[in-house]
Amino acid sequence: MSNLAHDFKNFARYFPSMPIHWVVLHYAKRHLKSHRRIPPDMAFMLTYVMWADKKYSDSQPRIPAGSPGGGQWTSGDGGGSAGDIISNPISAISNVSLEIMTTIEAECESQLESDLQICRSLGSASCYAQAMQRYGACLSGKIIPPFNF
Amino acid sequence: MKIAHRTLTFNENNKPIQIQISISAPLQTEGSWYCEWTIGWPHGVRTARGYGVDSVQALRLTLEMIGAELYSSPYHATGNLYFEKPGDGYGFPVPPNLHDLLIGQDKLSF
Repeated sequence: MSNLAHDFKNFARYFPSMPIHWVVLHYAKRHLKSHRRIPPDMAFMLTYVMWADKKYSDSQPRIPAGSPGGGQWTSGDGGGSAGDIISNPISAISNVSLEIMTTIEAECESQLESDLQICRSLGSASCYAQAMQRYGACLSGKIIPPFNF
Repeated sequence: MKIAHRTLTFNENNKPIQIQISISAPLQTEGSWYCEWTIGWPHGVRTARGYGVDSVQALRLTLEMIGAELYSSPYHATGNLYFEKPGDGYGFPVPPNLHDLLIGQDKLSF
């Protein structure tokens, strides 16, 4: 059985022009209908996808439906199988969410490292504090505030 | 050198799993200070560094970084991660722009 992330990306390919949160909600509905349950961490997945939407939608339009890789906006295939989730209902955290978590951490840490280079050159406490706010916003899917110093 | 440690609990189907968090003493490097920290998630250990202009800020921002990590994790999203009791937070501050995420005692303290 294909893994959940792969299945989700395939589903998204059919709706290349729709906002990604719309795609997630409809995917969740379909998943609920066919499996009678959704991953308990679907809310986290939704947060991630909105984060990915914000991050990628402007600078990286999704490939049109019907093309190879159509509709994709992130890299990497999922690590969690739908089978895992369905056959193992005690699992509170899906592998998909853990994969997402790792991806977000790497992206946000990369941003933090860039910010820290600026802060080191400035030697400003305010810069470090703002870099941490930018990191926190990145991790939690919020709008990343600009530096203000 | 480890200077602080906290154990959280993640309940997976009523089976408690301990999440160990540790913080190392501030160290100086290339014009800034940092504290290394780790969170022993069930799926693997996460290690990173919180930086500041001096050792005090490095320590403070490390606590905020850990708080941001906890509150942004899928473990928090399940509602089954806790320090003393479920829904009461983890005792770590978060950056000011994440205050809306705080729960329980954390909301009152930070």
